[in-house]
Amino acid sequence: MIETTREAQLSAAFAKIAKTLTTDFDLVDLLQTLAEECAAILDVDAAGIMLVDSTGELQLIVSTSEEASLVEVMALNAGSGPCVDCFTTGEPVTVGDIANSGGRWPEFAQESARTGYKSFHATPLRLRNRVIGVLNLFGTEVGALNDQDIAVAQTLSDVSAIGLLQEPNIADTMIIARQLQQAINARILIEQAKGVVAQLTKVPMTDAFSLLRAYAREHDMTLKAASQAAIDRDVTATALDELRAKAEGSDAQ
Amino acid sequence: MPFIELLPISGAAVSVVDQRGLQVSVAASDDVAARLEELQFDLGEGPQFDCVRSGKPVLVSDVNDALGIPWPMFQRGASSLAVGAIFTLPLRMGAVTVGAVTLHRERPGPLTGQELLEATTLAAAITGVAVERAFHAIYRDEDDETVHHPGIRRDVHQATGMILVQLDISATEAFARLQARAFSMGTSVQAVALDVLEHRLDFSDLPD
Repeated sequence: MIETTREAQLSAAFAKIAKTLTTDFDLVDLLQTLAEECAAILDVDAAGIMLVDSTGELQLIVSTSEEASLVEVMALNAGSGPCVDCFTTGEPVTVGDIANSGGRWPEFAQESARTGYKSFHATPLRLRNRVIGVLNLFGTEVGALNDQDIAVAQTLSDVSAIGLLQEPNIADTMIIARQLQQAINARILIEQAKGVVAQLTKVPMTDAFSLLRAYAREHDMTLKAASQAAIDRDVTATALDELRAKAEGSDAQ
Repeated sequence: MPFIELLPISGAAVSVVDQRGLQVSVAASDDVAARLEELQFDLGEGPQFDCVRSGKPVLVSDVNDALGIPWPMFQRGASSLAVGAIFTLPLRMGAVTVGAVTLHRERPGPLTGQELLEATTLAAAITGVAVERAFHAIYRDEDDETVHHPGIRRDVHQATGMILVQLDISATEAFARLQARAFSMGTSVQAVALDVLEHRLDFSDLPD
């Protein structure tokens, strides 16, 4: 029974990827589909895809979650983690127990432990004879992926890599496009948060920004995180008023 | 703008968008071009949304053909501006659509194949500059934003933040309320946002 379900899932995944390859081809869609299908079919909890840019750096292009923890682990991984080993050798890398990986990737192990990821698997994205990126799979349980899962990840990756044929500098343009999206989102978030702060405290909009920044500093958060907290209504008028009183107190001295 | 010099059109506007279709206005050649963009932002519908979603040109050769146009509110707004035809082309970076250029003219009728090819080539040529300008618009001081160069429309997003507190709702709902208010009052979202920012309007005083 389990085998049949598995087979059905697999053919559904292939069908989905094939569809993104043919109709209105969009590379981000394709890679997002690959990451999501792998996370759904394989015994993993998160997936992300990195492509190499023209300077030779691995850049995160898509992930199953935009959660800061996953993004940070992926970034570290791209600098000095098993992902780099996979990229340079062109071979899959399996780490069944990150905490006991023999100190090979100390920073990666530390960050993974902090964020709750315990196992990892990297699959090379290969185009002809070149490795152009890595599919990263993370698990929250200890245990290596079995051979069948590894083969599935590789096959899905190989099929998806066809889509990368047409764009030699795809990683560079996609990074700019992604940064642009992030910049727009962050700016809108901050402006909305200024509105929230202004409404809560009745201060003018220019002071709302300073207050938001003071709140971020006080709570050791990024401005973006503080903005999200304000929009989610996790920032109270009382907390803001206290900050304001504090600022006025230090001005008076 | 090269579009106006090379093509039989009266005006053009360039904007960069995020996935939800929220724009950063990069440039507009005239008031009508700016208003066409604002209309779509205000209504949440129009050729720009479809163009960005599909990554393909959306060509409206007769704006007055009310039945043939899938955006009824935008159609009314555009024809009241005496616009005859609107051609929207995607700005693409690799496989990603990052924005759109909207061309308009008084005279209805399609672009010829050659003209469309030229417009597409121009759109590809200006994409890099458009993205660069969008980054500037995002990071620069708000004093640089004007009605003609609304940039990222900071006042609209600030007002959204105020309204979400006034009504204790999400940012998405607050923005929808702002759009609905503008639509029902027959004014722009920008104008309602200014009323909120300057405390002439508090959404908690409005009946549901």
